[in-house]
Amino acid sequence: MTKLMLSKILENEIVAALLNNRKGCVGLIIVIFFIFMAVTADIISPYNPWEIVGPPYSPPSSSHPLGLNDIGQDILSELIHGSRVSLIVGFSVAFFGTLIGVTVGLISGYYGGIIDDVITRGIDILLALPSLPLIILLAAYLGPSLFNIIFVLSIMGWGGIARIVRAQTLSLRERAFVESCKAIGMSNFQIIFKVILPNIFPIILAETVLRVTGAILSEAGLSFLGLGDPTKKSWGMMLYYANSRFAIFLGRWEWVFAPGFSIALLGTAFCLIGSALDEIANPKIRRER
Amino acid sequence: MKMMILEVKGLKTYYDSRRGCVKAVDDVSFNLKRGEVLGIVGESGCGKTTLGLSILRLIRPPGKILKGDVIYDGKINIMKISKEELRKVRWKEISMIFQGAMNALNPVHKIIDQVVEAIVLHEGIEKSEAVERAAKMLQLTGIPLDRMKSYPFELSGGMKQRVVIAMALACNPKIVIADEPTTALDVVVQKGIIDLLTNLKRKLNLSLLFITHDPSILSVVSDRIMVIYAGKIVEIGETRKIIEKPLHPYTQGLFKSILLPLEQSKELISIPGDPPDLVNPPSGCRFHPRCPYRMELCEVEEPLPRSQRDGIVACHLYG
Amino acid sequence: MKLSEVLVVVKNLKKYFPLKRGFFSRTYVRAVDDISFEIKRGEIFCLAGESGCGKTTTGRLLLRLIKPTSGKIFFEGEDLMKLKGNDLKNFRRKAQIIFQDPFESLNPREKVIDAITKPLEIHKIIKDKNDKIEYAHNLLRSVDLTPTEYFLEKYPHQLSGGQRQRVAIARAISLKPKFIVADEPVSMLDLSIRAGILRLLIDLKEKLKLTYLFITHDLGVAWHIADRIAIMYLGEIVELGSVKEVLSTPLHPYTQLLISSVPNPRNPFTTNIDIEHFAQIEIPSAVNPPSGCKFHNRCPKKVMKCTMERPILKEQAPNHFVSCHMYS
Repeated sequence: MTKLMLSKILENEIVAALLNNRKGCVGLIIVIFFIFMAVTADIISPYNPWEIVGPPYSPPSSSHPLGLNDIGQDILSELIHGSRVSLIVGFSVAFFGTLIGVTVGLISGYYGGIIDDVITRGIDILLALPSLPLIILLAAYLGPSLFNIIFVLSIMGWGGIARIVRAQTLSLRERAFVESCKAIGMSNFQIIFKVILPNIFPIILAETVLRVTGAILSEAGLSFLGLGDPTKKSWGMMLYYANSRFAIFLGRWEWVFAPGFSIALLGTAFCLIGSALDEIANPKIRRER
Repeated sequence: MKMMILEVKGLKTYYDSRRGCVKAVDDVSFNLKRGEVLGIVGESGCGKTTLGLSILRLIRPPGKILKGDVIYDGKINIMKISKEELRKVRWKEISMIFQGAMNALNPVHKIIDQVVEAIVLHEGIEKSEAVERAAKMLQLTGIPLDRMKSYPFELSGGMKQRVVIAMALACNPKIVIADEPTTALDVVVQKGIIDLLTNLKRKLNLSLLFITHDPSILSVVSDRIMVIYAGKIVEIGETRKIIEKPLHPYTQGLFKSILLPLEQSKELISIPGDPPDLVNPPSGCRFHPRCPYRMELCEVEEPLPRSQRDGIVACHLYG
Repeated sequence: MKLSEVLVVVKNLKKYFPLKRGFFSRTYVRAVDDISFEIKRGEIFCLAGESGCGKTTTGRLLLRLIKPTSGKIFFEGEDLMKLKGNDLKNFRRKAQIIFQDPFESLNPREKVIDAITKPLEIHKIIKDKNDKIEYAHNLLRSVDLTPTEYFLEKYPHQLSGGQRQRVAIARAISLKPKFIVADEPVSMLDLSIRAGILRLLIDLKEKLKLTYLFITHDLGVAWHIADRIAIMYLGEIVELGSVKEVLSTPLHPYTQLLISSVPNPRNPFTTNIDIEHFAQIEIPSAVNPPSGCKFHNRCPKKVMKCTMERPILKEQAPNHFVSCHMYS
């Protein structure tokens, strides 16, 4: 059963192209590594990250490679569990943002006219709003929870992809094979979701993946400012505490470096995959005669 | 002065593609006489554009000119000279009208500036002199004085093509390679461009290589016609003779496929089969799968070009 | 019910495309500027003219792919613009289109079998997979794409231009339509392939009792395939009649110009000197067309009246109509 699924996945042309692309591969390996870390966090983590296992601010030792934080929790365990939040937020925000953005973009691009005008102006306004202050405001107002963070980042983040989808839809709409669908009697709904959408799917995929990075960084930023979810271990929260508890002053570089590096690495990995997908998407759009 | 202004011998240009090696131009030899218009006709993918580009050594990877000599004016072998010397030949002795060039004009420059640029790039003369020459050239190609400061988007297709022609003639070359100069144009505009090229050829003493997929155009514009199929020459001959009595079966089929108005017979004749695959061309004579006269020999042995009737035919029927 | 001889009736059809220029001024491209004609059942009616004359727009209007600015189109007696819901869907079954670019008209991600059976699926004619395969085989056979098994699973980019066009034709006839708009179906194909496609279209017309609106800029193609022809210039019909009459005895100066511009290998040395000079003048724009007769600034026979009054299409010889002041 899983063998069949695996072979189907590997046979998919996009996956095959991705595996052929060097930076795509590197990115994929890193992401899989972190996913593995997140999924098996409870098992591979040396300690329960919430448990106090020693004196606060203990420096690294053989049993605690990264030392202990300001309360006495094991930093390595925190780090391993933190991957969950980053990945969940990253994927969720990208997913919901894409969902909204693609729908809006498709409708705006396909129907044109006044619907398009109104929606485009709306997107322009959304993109012109200063996102960081607004995100901070909303997060502060709604309260610190993972759900709220995902909600806020999704709401603020769908504008860019809507624009891209709209542009692609506008150009596809004029092409003869879309016109022929109209001629044979397909409804607008069918044309939008069964003809146009599959044709722009590679670009959407590339954009979505690139947005994961942004989401991860945004979450980290919010948590660093203290607006994160205190009930979850996240890299941003680790940085928050490291910063507010003067980790560097105390010479505890690894407390800062570990989560910081993880954020950067995971973000970069998604960037690599997204960039590889972008390359794959483009030659596909370019016709092969 | 030699009668042959251009001699092409054994030219081979191949492309590396994902499916394999595309033999776009496969051992092509022909001559261009001084002051003549040689029409090169063939269908899409037969290699005629590649041939035009190869003559000026404009082939970029994944394409490669493997071998061949292109001798200009009996003296210079374009394939063997240095880059420096090549620059002196390109545009100044031999220039080119590229396929679709009229849509590739720089949209943010006035047309006269673009002709000036062509002159200044190839001849290091003063800009004022270049402007004068450019204006003269544009006038020659039929662009009125009051349109010379226009931008390409303000011009119609026919006028844009005239600009392209002016650019090709800017440095007074002796040979012009015109690749599908009338393809995207309406029939009335097309006639205007054909007339223009014929007039210019006479006025400026040019020799023209006229590449097209439409044989009926060549009937009114060229002195001799060269027919290309799957990267190989199948026939060369005087226009009138080829139209009256084409020798090669492909040429016969091609000319019979032309649909003209006011014809007596409304018969619709086409050549059966599909265009050949240049990666794996048919064995022996490349046309044999579609040839109504094919013999056993044709599947096995490639026919060599042979002199026939003041021209050349590559067909076992005449071997 | 008596089957009318006339399938399509077009009355005073206009299509103006707005150009967003000034805030207050509105300029339009007059793509189709008041044309009227009829298409008889079973005939091949040709719309011919150069680019920008409005023939492609007319084809789209007749299939209700775009909506007219004014005027009426009747299909089998019914007003096209008044069709809704199921009636509209029924119309789509009866009227189909074949495009110029054989690559563009096929979805690059669809296999041949899916492309040609999609109309049948949309209209719920196919019930299951076996139905689909059987229909697909039959359709490919009717367009001479054999062996059919070979072509079923192919993608458009794996086929030649002529083969793609045959697939597009198969898709168009899948719903057994009555009327097909063929928009320059052979213009982008190699010369040696064209005749084959035209022969196929004629064969299918006989077999399936079709009526065609055949759009082309190539008078040679029109001569060989059409029954009647309408010559269009800047959105208007300037001449209309049987193909034989219009092309062998053209009455309108523009038709004469068109015919004399066609390079003729069989007779390469005839030129009409009268026309030469006027062929040089550029085609005016469709945004600000000349007053009166739109052809007057290029016409060798122009008189004062031509700059002021627009001529009307009038019958000059039996079933041969011209729109020119010379004949009124």
